[in-house]
Amino acid sequence: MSETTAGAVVFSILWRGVQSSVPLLLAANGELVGQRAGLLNIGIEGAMLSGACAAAIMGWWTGSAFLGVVGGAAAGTVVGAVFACWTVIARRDQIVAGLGLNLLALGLTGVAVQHADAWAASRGVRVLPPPLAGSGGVDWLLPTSLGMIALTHLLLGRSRIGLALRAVGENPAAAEAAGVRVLVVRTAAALFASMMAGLGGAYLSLEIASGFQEQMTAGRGFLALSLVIFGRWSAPGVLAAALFFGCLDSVQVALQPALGRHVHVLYPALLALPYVLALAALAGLAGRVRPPAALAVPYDGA
Amino acid sequence: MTAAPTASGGNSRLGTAVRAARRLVFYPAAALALPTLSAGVGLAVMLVVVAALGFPPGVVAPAFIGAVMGDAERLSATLLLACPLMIIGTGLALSFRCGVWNIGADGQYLVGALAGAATAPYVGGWPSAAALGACLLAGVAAGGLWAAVAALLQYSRGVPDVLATILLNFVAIQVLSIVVRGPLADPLSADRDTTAAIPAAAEIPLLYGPGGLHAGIALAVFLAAMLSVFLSRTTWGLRTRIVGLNPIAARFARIPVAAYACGAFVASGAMGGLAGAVEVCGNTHYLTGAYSAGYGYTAIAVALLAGLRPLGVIPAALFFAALESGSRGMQKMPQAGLQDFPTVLTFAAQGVVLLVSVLAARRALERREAA
Repeated sequence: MSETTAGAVVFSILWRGVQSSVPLLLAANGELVGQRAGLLNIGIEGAMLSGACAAAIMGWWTGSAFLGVVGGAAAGTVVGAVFACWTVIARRDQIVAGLGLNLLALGLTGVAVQHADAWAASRGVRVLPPPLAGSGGVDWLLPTSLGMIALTHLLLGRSRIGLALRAVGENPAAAEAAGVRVLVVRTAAALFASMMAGLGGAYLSLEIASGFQEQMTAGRGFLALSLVIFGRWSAPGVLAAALFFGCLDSVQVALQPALGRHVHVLYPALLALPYVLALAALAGLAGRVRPPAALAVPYDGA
Repeated sequence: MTAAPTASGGNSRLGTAVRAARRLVFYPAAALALPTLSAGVGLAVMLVVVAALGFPPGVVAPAFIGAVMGDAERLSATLLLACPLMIIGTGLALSFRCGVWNIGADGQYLVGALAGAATAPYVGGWPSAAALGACLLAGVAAGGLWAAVAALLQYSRGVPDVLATILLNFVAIQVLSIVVRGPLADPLSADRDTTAAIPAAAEIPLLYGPGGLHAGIALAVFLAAMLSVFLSRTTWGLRTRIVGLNPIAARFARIPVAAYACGAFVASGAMGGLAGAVEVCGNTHYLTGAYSAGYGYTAIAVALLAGLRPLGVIPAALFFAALESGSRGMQKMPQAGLQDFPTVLTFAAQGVVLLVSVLAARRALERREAA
């Protein structure tokens, strides 16, 4: 193999790694903002799945990838609105609400995609993915995701909004006393977090997979959740973690043909690797980093 | 002001009657109202979606009931589904009552099934009670160990229980896949994605042969009853509940909080593992690469619908099993148009039940606020 082709292979793996990191980065960016405001949203998986499904269906209906992305963000926001109603306004347990939303999203997206398929078949339309291929793609979400994480970094550290957000996540009662409206801040954070997860889902179904499949997020939302801890609740940390796991994903795909005879045993091992690494990193990091003090604690009001 | 104590706590005959009525009618009714509401809303959402998809409700409803319990075989299928849900749900009720968020029952179930299937070939020559016992114990140990990993990560390294257990679920799926395609693969299967059938000695005896209903369901009911006695009648059970309700008070009462939480964690994992081994030894008799059916997640809905009461787990598991078995059974119904009934909708119903029960329960399910 000549040097140029080896270089091209490495470049293509890296490029695909950056692409795979985009959904993780978008979702983890949202979750970062949510967690800094004291919301541990494990419904992020469901928001991502809803975003992926809505983006595929919207894109296919309208023929516009941009409207698909809007649909994905909107679906994510709807999931976030339910999460906010349950956890911020009604002050219910965040874990149970998140789990419920995940199951609800799993069921409804499954039905939606089956129904869309049946609808398409009855009118002689081809099934979901192909109409999207010609619609221009959504590669602009990649620079957008980088811009968003930079913006998040600036806003969290250098602005009044960021200060209010962090205060709400650390000590909501004190924040309230200082004039911050805790419920408003947390609701906004919940909506933003799920919208970003919806965007991540849209990139997944429109750009990476060009189509929606049942359960296509396959735990990426949960991975994004651990990226936040990984990145020590900081935007640059989250960016680095997302890039690392994105590249891990593309290396997996690139290695698959090289596994040869043992592919049926080694490939699952590669698939388990991100989760094992996430666990190992969480175990190694724990104790040296501190989560927001009011994470997952409902605020009962002053 | 003066009437109230007389009515509730006085010695009059009226007071006695009021107290008796409260104990016999009001408390049970209040305890039943919430799960009935949650289950009803879940069912209603499912019906609305089904109707919106164009299935005529007048045809769907009787066909669904027929698919759940139309004849002895359909009823067996429903009870077969209830069995793993009941066992896992009982374990989760214990861990949630102790304030441990074990979301990893799906992984614990998978490693339990794996351990059961891996043990079976070695004990094929044993007397059947011993062989079966060995397989089930292997499942219990594997599930307990899998949960112990998460417990260790939480109590020695501070990794949140929710995250550790969720991530371990995804690891378990791949571990199962590796072992099924590697060491346990049936050399006769073309795609190398199933194991050979377990030896007959390790099979759970059948209660109703034609429906394949095995004795695991009796074990499940027994375990739920045992947990009920444990939580309400033993000192350990009382302490478990105190740790879940208020870990700080528990510490002042000199209860070893971490030990109880770890114990509940591992015990719930062991129950998940047992459910997996029971499923292999009683129902499927072999493993496939994709063995997870999401029972570990459904069982969370079971435990919460039951209000975390062990005896409530029995009807709650039957409810979700009926939803699942009804949806799956629709494909076998003779009426036209029911064959493409969306089985995936049951997940949506589970989600709705979770959301409604956590919204309606005021205090019972609230998470420990400071540990």
